[in-house]
Amino acid sequence: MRVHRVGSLTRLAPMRRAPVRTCNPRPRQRRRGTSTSPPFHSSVDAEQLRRFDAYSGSWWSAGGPASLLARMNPCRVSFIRRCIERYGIRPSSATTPLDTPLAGVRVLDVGCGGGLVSEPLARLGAQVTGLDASAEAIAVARARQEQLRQLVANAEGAEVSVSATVRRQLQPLQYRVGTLESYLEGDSMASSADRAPAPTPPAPVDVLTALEIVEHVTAPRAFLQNAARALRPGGLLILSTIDRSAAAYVGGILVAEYVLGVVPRGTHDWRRFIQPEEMCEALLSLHCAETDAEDASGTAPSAPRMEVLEMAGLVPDWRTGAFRLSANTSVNYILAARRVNDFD
Amino acid sequence: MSRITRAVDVAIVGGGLVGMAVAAGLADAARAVGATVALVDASAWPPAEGGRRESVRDQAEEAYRPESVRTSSITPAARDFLNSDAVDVWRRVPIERRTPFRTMKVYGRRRHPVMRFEGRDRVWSDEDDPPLGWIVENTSLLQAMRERLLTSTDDERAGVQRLVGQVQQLDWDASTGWPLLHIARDASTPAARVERVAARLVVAADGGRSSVRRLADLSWYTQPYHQEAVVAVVHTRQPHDTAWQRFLSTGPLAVLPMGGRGQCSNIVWSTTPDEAHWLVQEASEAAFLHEVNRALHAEDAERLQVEAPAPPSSDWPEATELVAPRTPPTRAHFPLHLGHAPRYYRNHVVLVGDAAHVVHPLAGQGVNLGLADAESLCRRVTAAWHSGRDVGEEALLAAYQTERLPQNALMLASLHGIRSWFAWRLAEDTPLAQAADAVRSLGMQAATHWTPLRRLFVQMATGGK
Ligand SMILES: Cc1cc2nc3c(=O)[nH]c(=O)nc-3n(C[C@H](O)[C@H](O)[C@H](O)COP(=O)(O)OP(=O)(O)OC[C@H]3O[C@@H](n4cnc5c(N)ncnc54)[C@H](O)[C@@H]3O)c2cc1C
Repeated sequence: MRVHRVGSLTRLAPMRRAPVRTCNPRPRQRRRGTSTSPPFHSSVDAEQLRRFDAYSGSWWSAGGPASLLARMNPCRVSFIRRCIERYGIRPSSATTPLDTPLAGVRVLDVGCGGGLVSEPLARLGAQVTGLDASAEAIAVARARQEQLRQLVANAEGAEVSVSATVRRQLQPLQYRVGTLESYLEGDSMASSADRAPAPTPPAPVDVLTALEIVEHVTAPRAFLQNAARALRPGGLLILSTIDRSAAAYVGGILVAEYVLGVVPRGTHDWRRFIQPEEMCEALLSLHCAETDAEDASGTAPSAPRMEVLEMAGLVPDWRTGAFRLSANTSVNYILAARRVNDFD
Repeated sequence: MSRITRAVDVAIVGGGLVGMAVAAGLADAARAVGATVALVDASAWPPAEGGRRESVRDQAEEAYRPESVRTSSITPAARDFLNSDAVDVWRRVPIERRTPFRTMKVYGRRRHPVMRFEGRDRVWSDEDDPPLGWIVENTSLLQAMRERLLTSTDDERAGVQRLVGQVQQLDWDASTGWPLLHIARDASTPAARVERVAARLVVAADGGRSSVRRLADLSWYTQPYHQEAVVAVVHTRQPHDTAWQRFLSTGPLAVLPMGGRGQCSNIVWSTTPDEAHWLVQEASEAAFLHEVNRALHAEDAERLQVEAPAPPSSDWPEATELVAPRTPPTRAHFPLHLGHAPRYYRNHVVLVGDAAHVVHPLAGQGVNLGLADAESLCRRVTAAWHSGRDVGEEALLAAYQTERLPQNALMLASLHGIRSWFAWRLAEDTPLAQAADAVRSLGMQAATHWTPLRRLFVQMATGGK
């Protein structure tokens, strides 16, 4: 499998982009209609949220709007697993039991939807928290857990008779309604309508996945900063999204939404797509920028420094409909970045 | 909803050659990801026989004796699968129980011409002097598979769980959609002792009369051949390493080398039910051998001759003695039919081996197609496990079907065609019948002497390896 190593690309990127705005805060994008957004500051776009709420019935149905994601899934999960193994993310305390490739790895799956990625990662042994702003999506994901729990409830007496992949899918996998921001505040959208007093910040995670999600947030930069904060030093950020290229416009919007109809119309706004170079540049300069938060309290602690490790394209195989990793990042791409150790 | 007693990732129904191959192919991968595989079969495994293998070896030095009359010809492609790191079964088959053949000789109603295929025709192979295939004793191959699974089930956490019993019923959990197998020794087993196994994926490897296929409501096309296969083991005058096959208008007769060096031969003779019955139940041993030799050596097999003609030369096989295998019977017959499922999966149930396709034994392809199914399915399930995917996913099963169904259907149609080509017979001695014979002879000469056609045949017969 060819994987595009990103080193040179990221060094080139700022030179190719006209204004090098490395250490300047990005001008805030104010969107209209924020009155419907959640009561706290959020990178989630309310309009998009309504749209995802509406899909939720079909997260797991073959041929539904998420079927394209399902076809991307095996290679997205393989990429994640490989990065976790390659960059030594597994805690060394875990005595590499044969039966759990991702044992002991704490994963936060931001924008987990119906659990398309959370479930496979949990089956591989990771301790996954699935987070989504759409209460409906979380309800779907939890319902699947509940169904499985019901199925094996009676067999629980005899522990050995339930496959470990089932137990792993049930026990360490949790779902929460909320945005990345509310998660960091230690708070859940479902539990508090207003600002909860004295929330406890969550423990940092080993891996944060944000798959097909940045193209839906209003302030991608703030989102990335928060993602970096949620990671432990040395932790991995796995991000996948769509390039702002002509190919993505034709393939990702015209063909997928209008010709084939495999993605519901209006899911994507081309202007929000982010080019791989922009993404790398943004990640590499995260620590220089101030947060977008307009907190009266002034400057928030600066974001952690990130380094980009590798990037690959996801391309569909027209014969089988399944996606595979490739060097072509011009439509869908996935990348791994690492939070640099504080002492480095 | 009924209470379940077990939840597994993959439940394999049927411990025949194909079901066992799937289990062996998945055992290591299951352990690596902590998944569980259950293998359901009606019969318990014979108790492990310590020391017996040694004595078998000692005896082999003196006199070879077959385990049973049933053998399978294994193609190089299937051998590669059985020999792969994941399956790791081939080396466990004692060498005298897997006999290579390097030549295949095929002839029809008349003794000439004889089509000849050589291992050399496997031009794509990188072995020197590659065999065309191996004649393997079914019992030994099954035993090798059991041995392989026993070495991997000592770990309690995962691996292959064995369940003895028959599938009585199949239903689906209403909310998760998982299939639920009801397994009991027989229909009268008290409900409390019925195992109810929930699985992400059920693999139906329960043979041509698959009950899982019926319970899953998968349709089945079948057609009887009005033929039965007679099987026996004989001694021949000389050891040989050639697979011989004569196409008689009543069906093909094969003489296949056994015993490691071809000192014995397996007879697989497809013929009319009446003749099969006579050959197995009524004919004396001498009459049986006489009939086999007559059918092999007669100048024109359709003309009745009382005397068995002498073999045309000494390299032709000549049966001299019936061999009694360790497990009776010495002679057996099986009815033959063709069968195929137009679709291989439904609701997390997938068909492999004879449960998906039953072909005529004339080219010894039945198990090989089943092993190719097993290879494809194991490869896909293993990949799915490594990416945390649910192995019951429809997309995975659809990809398996897309790979296997066209190849199986092509083989089914080709074997059907070959059988019809040789069975094609018109009224005796009319000009039309003579013309038909001439065409047939021409076709056979083409298959022998026209290299591309010969290689195509060999490629099909060896699974392209
Ligand atoms: C005379 C003859 C000669 C042949 N020669 C060759 C040859 O040379 N080469 C070749 O490749 N092929 C040959 N074949 C074909 C070959 O034997 C079959 O293709 C092969 O055995 C099929 O294997 P299987 O595992 O799919 O099914 P089977 O061997 O039929 O195994 C099915 C298993 O399922 C079990 N089972 C059935 N129902 C249930 C249930 N409800 N619950 C639990 N368990 C169940 C049975 O106990 C059995 O163990 C020959 C066939 C015949 C008849």
